[in-house]
Amino acid sequence: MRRSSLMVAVLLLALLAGSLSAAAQGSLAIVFDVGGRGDLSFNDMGALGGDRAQRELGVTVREVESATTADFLPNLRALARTRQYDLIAGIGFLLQDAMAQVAAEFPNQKFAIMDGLVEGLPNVMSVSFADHEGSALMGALAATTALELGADTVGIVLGIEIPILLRFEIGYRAGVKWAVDRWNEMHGTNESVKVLHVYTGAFDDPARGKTAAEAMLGQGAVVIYQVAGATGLGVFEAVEEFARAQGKEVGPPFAIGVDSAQDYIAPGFIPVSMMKRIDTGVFTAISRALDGTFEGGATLLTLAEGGVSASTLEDNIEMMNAAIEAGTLTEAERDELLAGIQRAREAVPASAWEALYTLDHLIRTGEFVVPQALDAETAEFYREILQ
Amino acid sequence: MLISSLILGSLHAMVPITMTATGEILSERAGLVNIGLEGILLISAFTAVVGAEAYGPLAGLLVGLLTGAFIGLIHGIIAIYFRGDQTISGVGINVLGAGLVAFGLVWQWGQAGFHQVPRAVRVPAISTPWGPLSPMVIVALVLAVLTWYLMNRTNLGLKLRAVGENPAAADAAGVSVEKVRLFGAVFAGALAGLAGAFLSIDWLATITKNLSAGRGFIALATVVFSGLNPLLAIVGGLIFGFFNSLALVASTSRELTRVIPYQFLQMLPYVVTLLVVAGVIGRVRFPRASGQPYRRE
Repeated sequence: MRRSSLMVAVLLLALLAGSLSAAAQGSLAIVFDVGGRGDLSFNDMGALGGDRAQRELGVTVREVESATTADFLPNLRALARTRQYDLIAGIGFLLQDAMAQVAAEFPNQKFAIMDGLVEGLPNVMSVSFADHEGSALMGALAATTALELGADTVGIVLGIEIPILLRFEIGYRAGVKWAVDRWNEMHGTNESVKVLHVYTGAFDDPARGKTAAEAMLGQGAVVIYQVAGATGLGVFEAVEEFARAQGKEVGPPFAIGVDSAQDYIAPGFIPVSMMKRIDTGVFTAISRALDGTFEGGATLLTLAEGGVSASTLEDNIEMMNAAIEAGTLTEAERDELLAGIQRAREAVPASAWEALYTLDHLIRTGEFVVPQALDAETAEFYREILQ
Repeated sequence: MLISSLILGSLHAMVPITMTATGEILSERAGLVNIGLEGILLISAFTAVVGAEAYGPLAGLLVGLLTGAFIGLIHGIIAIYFRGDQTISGVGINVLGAGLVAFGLVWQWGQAGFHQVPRAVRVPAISTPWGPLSPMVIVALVLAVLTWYLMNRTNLGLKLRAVGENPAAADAAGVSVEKVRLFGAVFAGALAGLAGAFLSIDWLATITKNLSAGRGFIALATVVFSGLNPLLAIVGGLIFGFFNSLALVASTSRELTRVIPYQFLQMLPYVVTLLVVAGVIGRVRFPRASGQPYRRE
């Protein structure tokens, strides 16, 4: 008797589960950038977005790796031809040309490109991220850290001077200015923090990043934010080398990472990164494709919408677990990296974290609006008034 | 503080330029041109990391050197024994480097774009009162001086120069033109390979798909600039390294960049190199048989 009632319960549950997943039918295909899963960057974050869609929306997810950039086109086309996916998401701007071509061939198939732009096609949603808001958070942390340490200089090393990068720089400066004003108000002081910036003219030359960072460290910068792709790897190296030459196993000085949680690259010296939430981007795109609110064109995901954020320890753990799943990281390596990241986070003054989270809150509620500069003239204007 | 970082920065930036140029100078003296230095730097930077992660930094340097020597050997065989076009072979090496390393990063570490070199397998630095200094700075200087000595004060050096100037006469005097040139090719490859290893497992502690970032071509310019003299390759490397560092240091100054746009500051290393090549050095005379395959009559 008891056994049969148990069986009935199990059957009922199974039915319920079945009907639930049937109700939320949907399928998503994710095409990764070259390298695929386990990159501890955009691809892994895209995969996490897929996981979330599976968990919360009951969507079935198909992940497609691309060995070279030449595979983007056939991969996208093969997926579109099946006509069974509610959305095909491409991770990273490198897919943008291939997606534009395939989207034009299959006008009834919905596509989404992360951190890229496909123009003029109503079936492609181009997701970009409010990097100026995220950069302001980094500025708040950097400036408060400097003030706590009795220093007066922070830095930002950038790649090529393109409009998007001006947005990072001015956002960062706005965050610094906000934090300094707040500090002076709280302490009744008249401190200032100088922001050194360099456009290195390259996204692929770590040597330039290292030299630029060394120049900033030599002028007393205690925190340097890198927005320079592979050039920024040199920034991490310069900061770590500078600290280690003084016998330190942990910052200050600190470096700040960008795009994904780069905190693991120089454990102990990168307390935080400005993350573009590719996971939120993928999740938002499939949600909109399913509930009928999907629209082609550019979509900017703000900080309030979860489009950007300061990396947390949990973000690092989640991403590393994704890499372990993909087989590019072991658990022992993860634990060692996490210990280093934790040390860096603890070495940053508590008031700097508090400043970061306060500004995060103010941007979310709209009480603080981060200025945007997308041309050199506007950028110069803000450089002057944000001093 | 700023001055010492400027000086140390210049010294480190000098290493890949001077070392690569030194090897190529010897090769060009023997009449063999390799414009594939950029590719050798990149490929060796990659293999050095693989070697260092397996057996430590010394092995990494050795693997880098041997990789370069091997590519130099292939280039030499193509150019000398098959009388292939040296320019085409060199371009081939550059193209190969770009593809091979981008693919190798994914294949070896499952990460596209870059791989960070673990601290334990990097070449240990010498600590100085001004900051850490790579021992490869000294190696680069010593190699340049030794190469100068080899070229100008030894029997082999005489043969090298003879082969570059007048291979037929050298041949008649009993010198094996092929063997001497092949030595030059391997030597140039080996030094570029060592310079590549310096980039990845020493100076920058990372390997990316374009880590060399044009340094192979700057080295080629330095070869011309030096008038095929390794001692002047030191000067060339230092000038380029110094102005490269100075440009970035100056770019951080708002006061300065208001007057001179940073884009102009960052042209400095190239402009100065051009000026020196065009003005100070004057006309450089290359060996007469430079770039030409030797065919016995």
